Amino acid sequence: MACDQQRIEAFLHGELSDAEEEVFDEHLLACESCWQAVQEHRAGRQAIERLRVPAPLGLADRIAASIDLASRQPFEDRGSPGHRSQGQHRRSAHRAISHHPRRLITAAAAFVMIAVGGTLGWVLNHHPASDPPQIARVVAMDTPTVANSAALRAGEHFNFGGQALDVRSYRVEGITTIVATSTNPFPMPVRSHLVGGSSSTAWMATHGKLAMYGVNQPTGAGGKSMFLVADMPVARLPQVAAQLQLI
Amino acid sequence: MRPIGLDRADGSAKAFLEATLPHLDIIYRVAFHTAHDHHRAEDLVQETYLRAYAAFAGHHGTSTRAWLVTICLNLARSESRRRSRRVVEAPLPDDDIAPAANPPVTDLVIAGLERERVTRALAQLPEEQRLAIVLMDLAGQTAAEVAGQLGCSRNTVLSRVHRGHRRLAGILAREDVDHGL
Repeated sequence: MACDQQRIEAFLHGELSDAEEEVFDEHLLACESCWQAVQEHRAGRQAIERLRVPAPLGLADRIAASIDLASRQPFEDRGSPGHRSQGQHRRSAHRAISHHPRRLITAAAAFVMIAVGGTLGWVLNHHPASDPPQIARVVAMDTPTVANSAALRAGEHFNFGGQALDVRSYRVEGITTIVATSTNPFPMPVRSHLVGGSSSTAWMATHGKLAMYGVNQPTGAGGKSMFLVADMPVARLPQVAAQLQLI
Repeated sequence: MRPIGLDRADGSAKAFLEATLPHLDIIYRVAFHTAHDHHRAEDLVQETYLRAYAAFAGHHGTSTRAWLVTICLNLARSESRRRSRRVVEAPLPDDDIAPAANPPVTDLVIAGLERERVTRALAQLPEEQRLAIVLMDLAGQTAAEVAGQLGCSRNTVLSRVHRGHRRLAGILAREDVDHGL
């Protein structure tokens, strides 16, 4: 029996008849190159088995939240006639999401997840046209020059908009992260989304490329309010806050 | 555990999630071994599900798993074309804090290192062999399904898988020799 690549592949994929397999088994015992080909194939397949890992924890939640969001009325279609087909509605919803930055999509997905666990749903607030000075001044620090200064890396004290706050820069997974803390709650930036709990209030917002996440404690409650700013998906910011032991 | 959000979803979204989430592990594996990065893979999976949801009304009859894999592959190809035209930023070093890690259990660490080694070896294969292996071995698809997705014959798929397995074994064996194992 001659060595035959296709026959080896058929053998390995269990596609030979019983009789053919018996003949090939005999051939394998006598043929070093075919034997080696079969052994290498099996070793490679065995190695690949190690890569059959599950999806990361939390990914199913993220997917479910983003689909839930996509299934709702898209932002730009609010108030439009509601007699489209289900397929049209889905395509429109997907377009609405696709046209938003990925960070916003993830933020929205994170919001849905948080809203489920919280006592309040999303509240779209009526805000002034620009961010409060406390927020704007801290956001402005997210530049390489300022953030990498020794003073900010060590932590600096400021008074912005009549509010005393401490600001410090960190590097988290290679990304500059600015953290502001205060004994008073921070006013929320424009177009932020709020989710409230019984003892604290969390909000998220985006500002150009930057994402913000804040947790406010009531004045006099003893805890500190904080918010952080970073060029990363807003959904990751709560994890970063926990990692930095801010919350 | 039921994903948060599944119970909130309305009828069509819920039906979609119930039909597609059981394949999440498979889609993630395909995404990871085409994107080569966990964060990009997660984004790719999310985009796959959003695209699939938009087209769910027109999905009839064919395997949901194969349908999702095809969407994921097409998105990965288009993302790869976009990235090839883009300047890639070099990551900055983490100089203050490292990502949080749980205390390692020896077995888990060894298994993780071994997975990384196989992942690196897999990434060294020619793309056609790597894709065939990912789609057959890690996505659990038939050679016929993979042939449809890659636009080649079933025999070609089997041949690519076979050559890929042998090459992978060779790469790993050479590493073992290099490390005196």
